[in-house]
Amino acid sequence: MDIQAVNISREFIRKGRGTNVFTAVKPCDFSVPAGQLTVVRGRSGGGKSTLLNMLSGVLSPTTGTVTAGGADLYAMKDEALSAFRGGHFGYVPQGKSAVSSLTVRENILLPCSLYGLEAGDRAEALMDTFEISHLADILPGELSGGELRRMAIARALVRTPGVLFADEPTGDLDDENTEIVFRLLKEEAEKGTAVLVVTHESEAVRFADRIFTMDAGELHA
Amino acid sequence: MKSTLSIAWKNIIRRPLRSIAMLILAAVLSITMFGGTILSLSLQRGFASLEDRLGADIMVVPYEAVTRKSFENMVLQGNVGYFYMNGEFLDEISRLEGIGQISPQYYLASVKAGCCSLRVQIIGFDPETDFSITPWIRRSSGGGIGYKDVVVGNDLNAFVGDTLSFFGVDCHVAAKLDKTGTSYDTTVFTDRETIQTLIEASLNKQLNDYADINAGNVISCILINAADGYAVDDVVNDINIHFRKVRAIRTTQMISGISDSLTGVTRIASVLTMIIWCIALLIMAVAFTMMTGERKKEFAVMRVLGASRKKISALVLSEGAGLSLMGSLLGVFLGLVLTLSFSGYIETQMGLPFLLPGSGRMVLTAALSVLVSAAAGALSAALSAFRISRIDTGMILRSGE
Repeated sequence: MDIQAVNISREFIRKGRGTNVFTAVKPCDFSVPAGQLTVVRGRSGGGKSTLLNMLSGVLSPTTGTVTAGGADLYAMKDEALSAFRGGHFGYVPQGKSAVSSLTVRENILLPCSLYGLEAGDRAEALMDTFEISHLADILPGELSGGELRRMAIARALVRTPGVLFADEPTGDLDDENTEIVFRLLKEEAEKGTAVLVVTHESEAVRFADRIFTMDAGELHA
Repeated sequence: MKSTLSIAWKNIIRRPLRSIAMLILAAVLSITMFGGTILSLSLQRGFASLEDRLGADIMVVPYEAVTRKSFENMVLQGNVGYFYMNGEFLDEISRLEGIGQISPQYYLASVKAGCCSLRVQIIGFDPETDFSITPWIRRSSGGGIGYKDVVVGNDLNAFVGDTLSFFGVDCHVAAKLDKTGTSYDTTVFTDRETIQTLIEASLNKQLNDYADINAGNVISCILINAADGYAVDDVVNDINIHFRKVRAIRTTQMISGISDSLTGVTRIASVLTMIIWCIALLIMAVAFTMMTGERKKEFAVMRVLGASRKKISALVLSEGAGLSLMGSLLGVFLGLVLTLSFSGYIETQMGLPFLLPGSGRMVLTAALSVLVSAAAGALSAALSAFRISRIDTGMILRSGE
């Protein structure tokens, strides 16, 4: 599955500043092709996360359309879009993103359990791959940053998505863990998944198939 | 739905402190509702029972018993007491116009009895003319009583077949009465002949304040029902005009004070219940809002993993409803335990007739309290559920909240 965005932009109104509208992402066309690791780099506040959220069906664009496998995301109602997102997209959120009352295994299975699906074997395999099998039954509060990030990636992959979105997946990790995470994302892309990573990490360049930069809302190839 | 409930349940059991706090709040709601309702029902039932037990339109007692309030305190407050008037008043009053049923009562206070650590009230009645106590005794015991037989109130520590000694006279317990919620629960009833024997014995032992009376020719109270076609007030006035040493009192007038107190207590209980409900509901709503607020990022993560707004709402609502239901059940259980354990104490402290509702009514009140409290708790969670389902997922993930 690939993502196509045509003429998308996003404006926000800053609260408490009258009618001060600021443009987080200026109009642009963009695609995330299957089987490739696409990296968007740039400084914090440049609009990378806003772009990723629009492409992943989480934030509706002010202008333009986003299609995934030919389906217009923002033409769908919330229930259908949520089900589509759950079924086709994997998402690694920025920062700590574990549900604190669920164990590592339950967190990884969350995209399935939200829809009453069974994927125990897949979760076990992913935990093996990401070397967190020994942490399966403990709560996220006891995990290190690197372990949490690997858990988040495993969770994003549990439903074998066609597109994987990762927002600053190495934000607070040391060099060793950063290397591990990018390697895992690259491997997913090589399996045919469309992978989009937004990051300020220069290390990403080594693994990327396509690199873009984003600065003050403008996307550059 | 099953998966939503499962996640909600895990959230409840794995955040024990938060869950316990919410359970306590929900329990406060249900215990307040259950306790308030049971208190109000018990007072109403006790009052109805008192009206029933008095069972006469008019009571005639010695004038001094009214001025010293000893009669009112005896009947309404459960104080032990006795007083006497000449038995000839019974014949004289019975000849007045407008008298329907008429029967005497005889009062005595024991010094000490095997059943009780304190003095108990003894009331004698004439089985041939009585229309107030006999029907009730028949209902409770299924039969009449003979010489030196006594019937004991429900709260007294005496049982059928026991022997109780009053002023050295052994009496046989022939029956134990049903609970009334009034001072009659600590009273011993007997027939005219027996109480005259007991009064005589108290005089002989110099344990009676009225040393110069003739036990065979005194009565304490005359119960009267007005004849058909006669106004009770007219009969009361007629007695009070013709007889100076006694006082006729309309029963409803005597218990009007209790009725006023009952209305006052019920009103205070209702207002307090409402205040507690408002405060508890407000705290619950704020607590749910804070709880969901601090988990905003988790809900945003669930949204990007595929949870719809509806699923997020259902999750928050399930947690709220689950906690409210469990808390309400806990509250009603505690309410039941407290009510059953301390009803005697409450009765004593209130100084008002107090009779717990029957088990059917208790179960119904408990079920209603659980239902209403759980619904109120769920409603306060619904607000948070609605708000959290409208969160801007992208903004929350972007800001890292």
